[in-house]
Amino acid sequence: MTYYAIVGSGRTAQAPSGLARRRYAGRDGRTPVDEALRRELTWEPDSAIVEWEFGEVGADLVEISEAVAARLAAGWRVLWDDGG
Amino acid sequence: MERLPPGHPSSPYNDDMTPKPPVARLKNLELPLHSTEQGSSAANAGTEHEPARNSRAEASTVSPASTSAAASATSTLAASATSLPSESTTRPAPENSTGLASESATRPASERTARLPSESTTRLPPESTTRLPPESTTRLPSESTTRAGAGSSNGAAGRSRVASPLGATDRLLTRNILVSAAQLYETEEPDAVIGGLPGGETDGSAEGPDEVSGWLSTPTWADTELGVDDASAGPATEDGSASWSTPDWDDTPGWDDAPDTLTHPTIDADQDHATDEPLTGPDGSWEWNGRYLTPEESRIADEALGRCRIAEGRNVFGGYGHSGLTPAMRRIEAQLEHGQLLPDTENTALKQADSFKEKLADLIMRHPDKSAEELALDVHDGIRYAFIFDSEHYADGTLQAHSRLKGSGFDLEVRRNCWQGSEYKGINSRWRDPAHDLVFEVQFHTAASWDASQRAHGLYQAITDAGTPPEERARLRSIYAEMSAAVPVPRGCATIPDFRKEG
Repeated sequence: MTYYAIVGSGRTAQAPSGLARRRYAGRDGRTPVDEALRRELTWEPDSAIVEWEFGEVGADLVEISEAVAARLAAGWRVLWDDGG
Repeated sequence: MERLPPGHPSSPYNDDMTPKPPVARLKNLELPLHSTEQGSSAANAGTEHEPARNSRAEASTVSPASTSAAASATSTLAASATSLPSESTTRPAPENSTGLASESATRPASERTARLPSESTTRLPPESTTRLPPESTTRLPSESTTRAGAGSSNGAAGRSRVASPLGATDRLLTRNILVSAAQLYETEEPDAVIGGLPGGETDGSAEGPDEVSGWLSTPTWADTELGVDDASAGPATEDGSASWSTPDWDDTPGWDDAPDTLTHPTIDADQDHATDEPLTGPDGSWEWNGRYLTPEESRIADEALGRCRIAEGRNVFGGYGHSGLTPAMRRIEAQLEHGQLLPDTENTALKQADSFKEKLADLIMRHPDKSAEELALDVHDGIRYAFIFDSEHYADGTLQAHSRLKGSGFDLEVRRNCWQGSEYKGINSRWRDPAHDLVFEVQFHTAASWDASQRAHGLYQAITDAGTPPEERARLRSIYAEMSAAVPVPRGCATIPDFRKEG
């Protein structure tokens, strides 16, 4: 599993505007499955990683560790639960 | 006359002093008008410039002939008015029809079109309205537009994709935008890949506009104030060998020997056409292709697109002046030693409204920590340009274009060199226009890489569709890579590094 910080305009990898991840599935375990974190803190299918691989210049994707991803998600949970 | 000698040609007397018959006056030779026409003429004579007062009364008795005659006062409306003679006899003439006729003599045609009342607009030929901005079709909302309240700053919660009662895998399998693998390989029409997509517009991807009709079309730029003639500006190569009608990629080594990409799979994007029409609800909400915007988000998108429209530079008359991004791009193009913009840049630079909203809907889901207002300004390809260079001059031409862009006051924010990748070929960049405080995209291609991206656009859309099953996506990506492998890599392109502005 690989995690990415989605760094939108004006953001940094430490304070991204979203998270994406690629996991592998399939019979041989080599088929990539891409997902992004939603506002409900669920992972849903998303093409952010593929678009980035095809030269998308909107947001940058920066690889991060699972621990960093978990920390960011936890921070958002608190922030959004507070109505932010 | 009386004093002239008899026999003089102008004398009223003959040589024998007998009086000549009186000279006939031309007006006395005219035949009298029919009684009903005399009445009509009399009425028109007094109302020619006062349509509001008398046109309704006149409409009840006006004949097709007189309607056509009145309409012929303006060349713009003549064709449409005479093409519907039967209609003219059965429905009242527009109240301001005479006013339009008089106005047309002094106003540009485009302005007249913009000012036409709705009834008059229906009488115009289709081309008369093609410059009006596209608008979403307003329809009654379907039940699928109902969703849970957002309850979040960017409204991302409860969107159709997320709120679906199906699990993620189920939803992937119920998507119906792809044909089967067997069908893909059986398809032989490459045009379906290129231009067969609903709306003929891209989804805001990193790829270029999918409309390729402009390859041979005449750009509207020739009609603009600056008067840059693309025919003369045309192929910017030193020997003048390259042109849009005969792109030089046909000669590039290896292309003809490459795998036959024309028989590669294509996507029938029209399959779901009936259900994929953009829908705008009476409350202003919007949905399309499984995306949804609340009324507020849709309004935000409209405002952002309005900013793009202003920045792009097309004026209300459909032409261009000096200001705006497109005129600036054309000036930059004119300064380049090699390369040119896409010939139909004026028609493709501005993203279509529904594609813009589709993009915003994706961004809202993907960037949960950003507001819809922020994200609307992050749609970097609301305005997009593409420069095309021949392979020989690609690298230096791209750098020269960068230099001209910077010299024109634009700030480079991101550049991605994708030539070394196995799929998309080209260089994409994001720039900021300080004058309008918005970002736009510029792509740098060879004719071959541009052509490949257009041929594979349907594939790209399927690949980046979140509903495409992972196995299918992997298969489509391998096909895309196979197509791209045939694109010659221009010399020196690897020397152009990626770039991302700090902060």
